[in-house]
Order: sequence, then structure tokens, then C-alpha cells
Amino acid sequence: MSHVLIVDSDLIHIAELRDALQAFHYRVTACSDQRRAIDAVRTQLVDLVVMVSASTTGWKAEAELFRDLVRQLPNSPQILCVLRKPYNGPSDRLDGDRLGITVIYER
Amino acid sequence: MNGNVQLQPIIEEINYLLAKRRQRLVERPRLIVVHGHHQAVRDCVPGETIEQVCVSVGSRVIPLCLSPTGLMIADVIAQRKPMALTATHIERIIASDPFYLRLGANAVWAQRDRKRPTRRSIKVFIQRFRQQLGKALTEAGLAMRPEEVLVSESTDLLNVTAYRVAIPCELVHLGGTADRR
Repeated sequence: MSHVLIVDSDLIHIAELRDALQAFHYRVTACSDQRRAIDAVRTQLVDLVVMVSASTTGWKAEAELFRDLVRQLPNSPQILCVLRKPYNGPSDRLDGDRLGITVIYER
Repeated sequence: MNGNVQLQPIIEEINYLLAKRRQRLVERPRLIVVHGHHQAVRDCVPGETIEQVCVSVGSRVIPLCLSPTGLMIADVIAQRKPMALTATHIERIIASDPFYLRLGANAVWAQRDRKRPTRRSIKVFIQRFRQQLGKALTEAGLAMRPEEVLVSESTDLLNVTAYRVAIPCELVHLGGTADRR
């Protein structure tokens, strides 16, 4: 069973996403703050980290921190960054490519 | 319900990424670096040669067609995994690490005046390494891009890229001790 870790400060959104993923029989861990998420990545075997961010620029620093952290792990999880902000052209996805993470917008 | 409609593209992307990860775990490509003229009980020591760099998928081993300098650069990146190295790092390692300074010294054909690659030429060798990886991945029938195997990462310096191998790497030693004459 794949294990998905959701990092999202919006508790309603995190619950919706968790329910939707559990319907696909994924094991889901939800964290509302980054510190707990970092602990979860260090202590559990995670397949995918879903970072949900409404920040215009702050997501890159968070994503970079996670990327540097997971790179050291033996079975490093992939990172998906979900941006909850108005579409800002291709620059966010290009930044994601540079960081080695997938970026999508929630519309 | 409206929330679920909004989440649908995210769920689809998550399903895709997890399926891709499962597929990759099953196929599990590895990079194998073969050293020759090995004289120690274990570990790599100066004097060895870099015989071959291969991509291994399941029981298939696909050798990469790399020049001696290309083999050396591939070896540097594989040995320093998971550290990402810039061309400058690679240049310094090749110029200072005894393993590369005495590369091939155990072999009969040991080349005394080996030309050291420069930062600029290293970038070209990395492109060639990536091309060879692409060919090997295609030959193995993997849906992976070479950029996912030899990953480029931006650094805090302007226009400076660091490179690292994102698949498991293995160093294999051939029993070449008898070859020294």
C-alpha cells in the first residue's frame, strides 16, 4: 500500500484530500506543520510527499528543504507541490523542474 | 462535491506519480561502475582502472559507450552519490584525488601523462554521459528520461549546475591482480 504524506496548513483542505486519497486505498498521513512532516519523513517509509501551499514564493524554500531532506533517505519519496494561488505562468513549474519536484495548480 | 471536483486533477497526478514509482521500483535500473586491476582486499585504491560503466535493469546489463575521460567523470559522480557535484567540483576531485591521479597505474598500459578534463570539457562529457544513459534506457525499454537518472540541480551560484545520479550505484571490482607485469 503506497504511503502519502500531506503537508497542508488548511485543516479543511487536508481532510478533503485525505478522504479522497483513502478512497484509493492509500495510506495517508496528514501534517499541518512542516516540523511534524519532517519527523514523519524521517521515521516512516513515505512514497509521496504532497506539499500544499498558498504562498506565492515561499513554497520554493519549503520544497527545497524537503528535497534536501528526502535525498538523504534510502528510498527517497517523490515530492508533489500543489499550489493554491492564481496561475502565474510557467515559471513555477520550471522552478519545480529545477528542484526535481512536480508542481501543479489547484483551480 | 465541489471540493472533490477541484481535487480531481490532484488525485490524478498523485495516482500517476505513485504508479510511476511502483513501475520504477519493479524495473529498478542501477548504474554499475566496473573497476579493474584491483589489488586490495576491499574498497577502491589508487592504481585501479575504470573498465566500464553500465546500466543494469533486471538481468540485463547495458554497457555505456564512454571515452576514458567520460568513464572517469561517470565514476566521480557515482562514487560521490548522493552528493551533487558541479563541474568545478569534478575538476578538483580529478586533479587532487589519488584514485584519479594514479588511475590505471596498476595496468600494463598505464598512461603517464593523462590529460585532465577542464570545467568546460566536463560539461560536454556530462552531456555525452546523459546521451549514453538515454540510449541504454531506451534499449532497456524503460519509460525514464536520462535527466531523471543524471539529475541537474541549480545551485545558489548564478548559472552553476550540480549533477548527481538518482538511481542506485554499484561499484564492481574485476579480479585483475595477475595482470600487472
